[in-house]
Amino acid sequence: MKKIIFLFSILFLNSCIKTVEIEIPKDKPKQVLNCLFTANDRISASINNSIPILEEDYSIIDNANIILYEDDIEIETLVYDDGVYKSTTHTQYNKVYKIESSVLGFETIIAEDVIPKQPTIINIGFVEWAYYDPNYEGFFGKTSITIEDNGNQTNYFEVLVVRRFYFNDEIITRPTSIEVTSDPVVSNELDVQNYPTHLVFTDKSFNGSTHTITFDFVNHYNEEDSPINYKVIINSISENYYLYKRRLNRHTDFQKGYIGDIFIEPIQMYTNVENGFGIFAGYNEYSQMFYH
Amino acid sequence: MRASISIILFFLFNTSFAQNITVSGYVTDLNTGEKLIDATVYNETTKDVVLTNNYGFYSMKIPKNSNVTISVSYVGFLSINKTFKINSNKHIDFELQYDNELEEVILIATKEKPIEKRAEMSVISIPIKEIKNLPAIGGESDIIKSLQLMPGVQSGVEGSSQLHVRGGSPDQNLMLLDDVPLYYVSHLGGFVSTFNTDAINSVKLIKGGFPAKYGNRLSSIVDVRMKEGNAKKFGGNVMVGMIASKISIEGPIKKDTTSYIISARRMLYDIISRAVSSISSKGKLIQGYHFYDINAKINHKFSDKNHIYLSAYLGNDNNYFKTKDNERDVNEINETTDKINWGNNLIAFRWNHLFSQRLFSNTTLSYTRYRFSYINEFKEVEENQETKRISKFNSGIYDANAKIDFEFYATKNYHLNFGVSATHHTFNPGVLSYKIKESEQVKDTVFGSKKLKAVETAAYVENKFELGKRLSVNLGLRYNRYQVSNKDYESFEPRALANFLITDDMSIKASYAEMQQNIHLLTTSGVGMPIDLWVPSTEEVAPQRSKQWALGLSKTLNKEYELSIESYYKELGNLISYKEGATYFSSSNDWQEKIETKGKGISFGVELLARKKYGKTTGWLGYTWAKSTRQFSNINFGKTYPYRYDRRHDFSVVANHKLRDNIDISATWVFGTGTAITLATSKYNIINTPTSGFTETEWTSNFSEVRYYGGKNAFRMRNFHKLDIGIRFHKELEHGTRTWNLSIYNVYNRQNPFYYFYENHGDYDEQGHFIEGSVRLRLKQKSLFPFIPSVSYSYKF
Repeated sequence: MKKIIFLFSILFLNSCIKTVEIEIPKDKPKQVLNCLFTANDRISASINNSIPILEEDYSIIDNANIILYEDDIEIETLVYDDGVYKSTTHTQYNKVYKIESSVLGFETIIAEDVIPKQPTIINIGFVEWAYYDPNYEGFFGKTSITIEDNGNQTNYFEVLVVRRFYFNDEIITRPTSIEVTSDPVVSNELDVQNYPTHLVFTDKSFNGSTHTITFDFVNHYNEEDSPINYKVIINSISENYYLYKRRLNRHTDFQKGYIGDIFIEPIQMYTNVENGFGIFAGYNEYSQMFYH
Repeated sequence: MRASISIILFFLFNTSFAQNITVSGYVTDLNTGEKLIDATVYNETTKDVVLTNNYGFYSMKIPKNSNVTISVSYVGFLSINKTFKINSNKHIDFELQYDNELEEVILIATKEKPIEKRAEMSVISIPIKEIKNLPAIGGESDIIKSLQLMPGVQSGVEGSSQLHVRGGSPDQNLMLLDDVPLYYVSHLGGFVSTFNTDAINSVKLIKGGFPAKYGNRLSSIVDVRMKEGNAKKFGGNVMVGMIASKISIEGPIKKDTTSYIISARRMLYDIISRAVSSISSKGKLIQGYHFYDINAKINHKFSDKNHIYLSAYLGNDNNYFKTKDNERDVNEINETTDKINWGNNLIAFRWNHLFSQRLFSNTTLSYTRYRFSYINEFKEVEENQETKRISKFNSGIYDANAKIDFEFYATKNYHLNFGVSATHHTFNPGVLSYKIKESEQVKDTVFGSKKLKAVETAAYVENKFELGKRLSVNLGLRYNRYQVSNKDYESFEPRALANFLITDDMSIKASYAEMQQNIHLLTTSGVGMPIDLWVPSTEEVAPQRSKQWALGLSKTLNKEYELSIESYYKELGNLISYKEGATYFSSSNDWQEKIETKGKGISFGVELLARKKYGKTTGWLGYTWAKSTRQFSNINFGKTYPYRYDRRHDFSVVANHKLRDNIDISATWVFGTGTAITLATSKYNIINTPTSGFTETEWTSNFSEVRYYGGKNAFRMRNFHKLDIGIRFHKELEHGTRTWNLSIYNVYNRQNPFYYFYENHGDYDEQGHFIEGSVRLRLKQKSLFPFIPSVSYSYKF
């Protein structure tokens, strides 16, 4: 595709093309809320601000007044601590949480979401080094997850494999890259990029039944690192979480400055924050550890 | 329907008692024998007016045994009068002489059927001669670009030969060449239209109030008729221009009975570019591009009642790019070749038959084909081992069509048009194949969308009648049936148009039309590239539908100026679009997995047109205020957004002036609201993954920078405007006329935006050293067409 466009551009247009720099009106900055919260945990939210596209410097907002509501009842004001606003309350499954943040000079923002029920996992299969791929000159692991779905509602899921390892005497935790599976449950999610670090999907095609999703993950890292363990994570996620995750990778892919930019429409980022940007979304984790 | 039948019966019954007889025949150009379409045939005794049809045929009722004077006129020709007294039906042909004396033209203009008396609305026709006079890049006059200067019509991006009519997309225009559809009507990546003006007799654009004979497109009909060829004498035309050069020859095989025309055009860029690129790169790079098209037509008149035509069109674009690298070692070769080809073929056989003085028929058998192919070949030779990888992408559409149209001139107040048609479509929405040949092993892989066949049948009836002296009406109904796989899509499409004379020189017009379109165009570019994919309606993808209402006022001022104002409201349904993030070659195999369906669109606007057709100075002034939106459930979060070519204001001035007998000058100025695009205006950081299980250091790096776009197509590029001028010098030579055509495109060098993009840009100090930390994002604009002078030379013999 890019090649075709390139050929057209070079052959027909290049002689006439002129490039000029132009200015655009500056958008008024808005508050940006980032908070992914799970059950039985404290809420940690960060607040910063958007900036006009041609500017570079983000500022830290440390004077926000953030009120947390549970099922529409005000429960506390979050406390700023080392770049993050934290609650003392521990969240609960199936409660609706709402955040209201006020900062001088900005519009007040509001966002709310729920924590879904923990997923019912029947089985998790895990092979650390399943095969060697000479094309990539490295090993791939394999995981299979059997999910029992609740058929009364639309459910959303996220799966990922997190790898913990020693590197230069430090313990590092990183999600692995996933080889995109041909399972239609995942491949029908058109936004799947190559080698994502997570897969999100709905129960649309297995509503109310049991489904096993199998995928491979990249497990060929620097030879000097030393694996400790792996954590296979299956999150039940809210619809807001799903919409945000589904767009995140594609959004960043399509904003790169290659020649095809003019022909490919950008993907707009999802937000559920009223009067502002960012994400406030709940999830509920099921995980299993596998040791090296 | 029942009302239509009653009306028909009434008029048919009424006819049998009338003391009228019928005179009919053809109106042609005296010098060439070319049929004159929409010529005015005026009965000075009864004040009745009829227009010739697309084959130059007319039929008129006159009183039996009375002295009748018929005058016939056509724009740019001297009118003629004939007075006669006949007592039975008679065939009378008229031949008009082309006239260069403009004052005479003014005189005859008074007899052309004025706009307020024509039972049509939203119709634009521009004489080919006027189109040829307009300034054009490279001297290549262009029908489509001339139509773009009319209100309600836009070009999309600058220089493009696409049409966006009343907020519609380019695929929603039915492009007819001699009654046969063409699918992709552009050369040069969308910048030159496939219509060679040397081979064209007439062009008409219908934006609304569609007669029932037309169907299968939502937004417009572009009815282009090829010349038939000079039936009197041999002649021709040669032109050398900066974009293309062309030659046309025409003449009689048997005078006044059989004639032909052949017109060929070719871009010559590749002849130079292949040589230059090869020499300058020492054989490592060869690139070339050219397009060509050939129009040919032959016709034969058996008798006054039978006339046949065979027309053909062949057009192709070829793009070639080859790189070769054997620098390291003569035994190690890397070669990459890219070939891109696209084009249309068309062949049509037509038979005009007069069953009687009042019943005219036209039978058409045609075949049309559009195809696009992209071939990439990679050859590698290493240690005498050859590896070859070939990937091909092919898409296309193939139509075989048969149809018959009837025109029945029942009474002087009632005409009935009806017809049936059947089309067999074969769609190839895109097949990608790979072939790898390594040593002796060959691997073949083919994947993509399946070929699909569909049958489309249609029938229509149009009732044109006049009720009293002031009201004329065209009521019609079109039935369309589209059968694909196991699915039938049927539609009944009512059409209505009324013209009411408020005063003798002013009328109010109203129309309503429903349309169904069985094919779609999938585009990521929005520019009109040949890679845009024609796809059919299928079991999962329903045909597009539209409803359009229009209301207008028309007036002739001082017998010289046509004024019209029209408002319209159009609803579009079942539109398709690529899913957000899906592209032409994205991973899914079938195109149907990549699209959003059931899109809706709304367009409305007001169009003003003031036009002067006659005299030394001709031209028009057009203004459009319009709004056009789209809505899909899964695009722009389900919210309605502006159509990419939603243009609030669109203004154009076009002027042609005959300075002297041998010098014409022309100028066009256009202004349009900036194109709606999706552009980031803010940015912020967003969290990547839950922080659970991460250390504090990882938490701070767990963000991605994302951009805020304000919605799809929420940003407007800068307004577009430009001035073009042209001057033509004619000189009579011994065997013909030569013309020098000088044009300047974009006289005041306006940097109109083609697209915007962001780029990181750093600064350098006076010594040319990069300044650390100076990199920042900047918004840039690409402009394609600066001040461009051009010249062409033509010789007509």
